[in-house]
Amino acid sequence: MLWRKKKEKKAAEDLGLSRAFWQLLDELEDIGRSPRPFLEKFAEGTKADLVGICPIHQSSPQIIRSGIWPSVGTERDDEKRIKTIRGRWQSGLKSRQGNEVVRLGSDEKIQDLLGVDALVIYPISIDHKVMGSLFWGMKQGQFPNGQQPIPDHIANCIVKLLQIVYERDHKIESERLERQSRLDFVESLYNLLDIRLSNIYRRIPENLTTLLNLQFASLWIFNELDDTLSLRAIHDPVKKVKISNFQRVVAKYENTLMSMCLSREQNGIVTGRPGLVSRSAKWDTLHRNMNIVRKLNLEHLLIMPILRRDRSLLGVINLYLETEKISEEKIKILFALTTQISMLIELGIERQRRALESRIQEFFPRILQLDGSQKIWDDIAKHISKVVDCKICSILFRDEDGELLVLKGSTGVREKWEDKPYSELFYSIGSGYTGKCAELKHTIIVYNQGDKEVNPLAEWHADHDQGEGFEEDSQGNWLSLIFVPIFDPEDKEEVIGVIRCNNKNRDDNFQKLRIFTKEDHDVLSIFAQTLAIFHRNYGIIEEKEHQKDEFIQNLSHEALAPLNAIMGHAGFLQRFHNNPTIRARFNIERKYKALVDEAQHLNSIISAIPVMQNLEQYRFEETRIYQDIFSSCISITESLAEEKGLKLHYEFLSRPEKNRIPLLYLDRKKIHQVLYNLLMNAIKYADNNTNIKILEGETLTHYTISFQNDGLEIPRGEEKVIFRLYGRGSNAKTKHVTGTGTGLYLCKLIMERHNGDITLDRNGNPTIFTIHFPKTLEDWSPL
Amino acid sequence: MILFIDDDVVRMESHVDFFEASGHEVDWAKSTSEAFQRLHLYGNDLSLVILDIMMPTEGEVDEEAAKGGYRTGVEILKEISQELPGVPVVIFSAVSEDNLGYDWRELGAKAYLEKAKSPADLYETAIKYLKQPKEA
Repeated sequence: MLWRKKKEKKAAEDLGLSRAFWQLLDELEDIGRSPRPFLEKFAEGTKADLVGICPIHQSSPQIIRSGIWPSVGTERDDEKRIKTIRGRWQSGLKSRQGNEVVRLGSDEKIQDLLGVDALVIYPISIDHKVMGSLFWGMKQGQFPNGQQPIPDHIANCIVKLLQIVYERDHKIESERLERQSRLDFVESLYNLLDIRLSNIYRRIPENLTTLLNLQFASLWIFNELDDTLSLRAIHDPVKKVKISNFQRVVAKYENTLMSMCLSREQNGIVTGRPGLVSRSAKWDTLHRNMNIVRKLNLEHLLIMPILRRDRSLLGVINLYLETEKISEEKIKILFALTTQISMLIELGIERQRRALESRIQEFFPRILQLDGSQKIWDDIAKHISKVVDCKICSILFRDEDGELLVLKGSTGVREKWEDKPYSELFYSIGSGYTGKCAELKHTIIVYNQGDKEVNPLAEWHADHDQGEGFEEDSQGNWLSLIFVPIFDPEDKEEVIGVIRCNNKNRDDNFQKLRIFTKEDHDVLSIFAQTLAIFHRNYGIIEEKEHQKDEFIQNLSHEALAPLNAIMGHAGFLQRFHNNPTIRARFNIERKYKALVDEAQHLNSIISAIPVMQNLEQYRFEETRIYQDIFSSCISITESLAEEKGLKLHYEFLSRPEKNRIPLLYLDRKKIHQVLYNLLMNAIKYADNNTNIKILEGETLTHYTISFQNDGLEIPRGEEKVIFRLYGRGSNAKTKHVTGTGTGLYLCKLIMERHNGDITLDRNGNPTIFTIHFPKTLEDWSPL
Repeated sequence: MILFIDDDVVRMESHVDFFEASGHEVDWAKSTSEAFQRLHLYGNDLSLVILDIMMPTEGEVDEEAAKGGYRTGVEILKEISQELPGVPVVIFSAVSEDNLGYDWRELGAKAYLEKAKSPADLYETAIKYLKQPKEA
């Protein structure tokens, strides 16, 4: 027998315990299972009217009900009684040392409940911690022998024996927990991997309360975005508090409290340290509002961080016991479990992320095949709102200048979001409040909490307008919002758009409002990346379509002018060719000539179209730019220049040995086209009777030829437009300078194929186009 | 007096000639400043104005109002409607009716013809709106 060592027996005999009493103590062997038989015998031996054991583990029901009561009552009565005894005992202990015996005289409550006049409570301690108590009660009057039912030394001996029994039980219990924690618990949790993340969250506090025999457990997940903890699940089998109520009542206090247990390490990661917060210490100092403490009747709160393998904080487990401290053993077990919980949650998150990604990936190839019309963007928004579970999702992209936000797709009312300035609008909660933000570099989560708005994002910056405060939107709803920036796929700093999601609830349902979390941010970021690529690709398609439209418009306009002239001349001739008076008055010959010229011009416009189709074929050969190519361009354009009274001036490169740009490997025909186009442009857009300059130049790496004219300026902001396919300067169109908008585009393509470039230098008038030939073309030969 | 307002010097020649050859007194303003000058000069003596829409901006029509030259004619038309409400205007333009961005009837024009019509077509339409000289 565990407790009946010789030494102890000797000690007991020294105390004067009778043989009969020893027999009684033999029964203690079974006390762990049920102390009742022991207590019954004990009561008989001491002639006490009431005997009981009140252990600290009040949540173990079979022990609570132990004891001999003066009258037969229900289980509920027993609980009441034990509570009273404990209450008396604790209040009696307050001013004493933990191990002192408490003697209580008559008082009404004791008499009412227990039917005794006097009560003596002996504390049972293990490692100097009070684990329970043994008590005696006398029905009438005081205890004999100087107010004691039995001599102190005998009582002490019994207490000692009870301690041994408890210790043993405690050890067995710990071992059981330890074993279970290694096997059953983890196994049961890992089985959860087949289910949703939210269920995993829910089951963690559930399993913990069962395993550790607790009253209350909650799970909080750390949000790296804003350094806050969000409540994911609670389990409260006794009070059955609902998460929504809990969140409303204590969440904000909890958060502050728990953040006290977080620390940021040097490398920036946030970790937690286990913290025990007692009612007297932190709650009081933290908040004047003791309501929370009263409501939950909390005495002790355990905060246990869940750390990832890299020691960063994943979340927090939060435990309560109503009146007692949580034993160190349980804390140790809990600590050992957090590693498993951490892995489990991470696996769950990873699994959910992968599932989401696959759903996203399934979705996007489909939309990429579509035409990017309005409906597609709305469909995307609808899809996103389903995935992240939000009421309204809108996708907004910045316009070309980046100033306005253009609504692409939405599940909500379109008009509200149409074309708002990017710099002014980021969120609006409530009727009187609009948040402003110059740049959206990070995800922003906003929500109402009670009477104030919370923007948990630390790096919310610039123009943050402090509004009047707000309560709800115009329809009386509470709102929670998330804004996720869409970055340029090539430049991760450049924000090109925003995904905006919101949730709303009627004001009386504020606590049900779903607040966006880091997981939502993760999911939306994946969407944002994909949308960025989709938008860019679609932008290219759009641009091509636009160019096509523009080309057709240009072409029809360009073709319309000569056609109009042809109609004019032909119509005139048709009507008046037989009328000699008119023939004499008007120059009929001129009209015939103009008719032919205009027809030719029309022909040239139409024949410009297929030129581009030959662009892919290049034939490089050793060529002299001037002797072989340029001179022929000059001779073609000379007459035109003369007509406008233009003079061509050349400034050649001064190279002592060769005096000109040397032999280069070029495609003769293509470069001919470039030089011809540039020369023609210079003539076409020059004012009459001015000079056109052709300048040779040389840099370290390139030979250059510049064409300089005085005349029609290229409007500011259109420097890029003119190099686009079918792009033309806006003033060129209105001034009726003929052209198809293909020349410079072709020049650029051809120069690029020669690893060269074409640039526009427009420091006011004159306009200078320069082509750059890399010097490597000197000794470059195609394979 | 029929006034043509069109900057397309080469291509409108035969159209103008056609009206002249048909026995009308014709003048041709080849820029916006010329247009205003002629409008002031002839005033209510004008029996018809044939107006282009896209012309370089200058003088009384600034670039912004005329949308960079794309709607110069609209500005001139507004001026005529205000100052010379009795003078009929026929628009003859390369800008299609749908792309004008204005309701030309509201602006006071009588008819709208897209270019690339033969002079005979323009003549037939325009002559319908010719203001009859007041009988003495």
